[in-house]
Amino acid sequence: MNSHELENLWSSPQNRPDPAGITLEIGKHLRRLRCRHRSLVVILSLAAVWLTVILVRLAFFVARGGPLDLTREWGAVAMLLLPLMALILLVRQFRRHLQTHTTPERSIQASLLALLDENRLARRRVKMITGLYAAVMLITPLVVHQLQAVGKAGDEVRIPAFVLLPLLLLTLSGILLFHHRFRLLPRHRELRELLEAYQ
Amino acid sequence: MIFSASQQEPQPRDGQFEDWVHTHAAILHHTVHAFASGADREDLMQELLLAVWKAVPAFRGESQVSTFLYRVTHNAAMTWRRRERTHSRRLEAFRLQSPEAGAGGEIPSATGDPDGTAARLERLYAEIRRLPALDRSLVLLSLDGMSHRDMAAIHGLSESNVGARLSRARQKLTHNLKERKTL
Repeated sequence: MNSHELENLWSSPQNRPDPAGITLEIGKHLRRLRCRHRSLVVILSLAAVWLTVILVRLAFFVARGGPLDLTREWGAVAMLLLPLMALILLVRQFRRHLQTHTTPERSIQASLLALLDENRLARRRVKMITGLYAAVMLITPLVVHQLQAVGKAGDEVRIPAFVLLPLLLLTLSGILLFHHRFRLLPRHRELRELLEAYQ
Repeated sequence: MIFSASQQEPQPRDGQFEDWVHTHAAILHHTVHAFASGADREDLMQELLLAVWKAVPAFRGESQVSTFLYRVTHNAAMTWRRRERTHSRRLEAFRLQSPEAGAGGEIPSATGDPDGTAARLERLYAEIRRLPALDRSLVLLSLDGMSHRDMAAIHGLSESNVGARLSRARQKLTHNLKERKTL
């Protein structure tokens, strides 16, 4: 098999796609493409809206002089501020990533570098979020104690606070750590190997 | 930004996407066959179409559409994650060692492929898939007639680097084809 035979084989009619088949593929995938794109935007928007609504309501409550004694109820405020701080850190990381990788589409090598950086950020996000969950679980007993001391909560909060919430957060942490170990880390290795081929 | 791109101009983007895919269908066809086998091809085709669709608004006309599409599709193919299970990979490795069977797992029937071109093509793709990802991409681009300069721009390499790598990759490919007597 020489180059000439190789090129003849490559340009044979059997190596050309069937036009009807392509039309079918486009039709099949176009709707799915739009759905995938929309659902990611919806998920991110819902998360941002939900967090904003909670914080805005808290701010209005405090501004209207609602009964909030910060010297005795600071735990609840700290718990609400934790996700906000995490969000700010994540946004800062993302902006730094965009500033570093301004034109990832200029070449495949540049794109791989951007993907590797995105993977690094994703792994850092997992650590940040699982740390946040751990902080929430640590601060919850203090929050419950403070709310009970000022009469805003009774014994009915014990099961949700000390059983359901830790169960939920531990499950979510487990899912994130699984994702980190079995998706993100192997992906990091694959991308590094691809990039090493360019060196 | 994402909302504005998809909500303000849905028709022109879809129209351009369809036009590109129809005109340059061979680019997707060759890439899918060179980077995936069997049932994975459907999955990879979806990834390539998604990559092209997302890339449409980013095209600035600084290069030819075909060069732009090569970069987008090869990037997507090289970074695509196969969902194929381990036993399917072992099956593909077994098929490569068996010169009688086609890489798709079937012995091509004489009636469907009288001169055996389709079978030889499938075996060629199987050997191309054995190359490392970067070499595979360079071989594909070379078989499609792309210049070293354009290949270098697509990959972010120097022209001399592309020339040297391509030469080694093609030698390896033709050596493997001869050794296995697959063609």
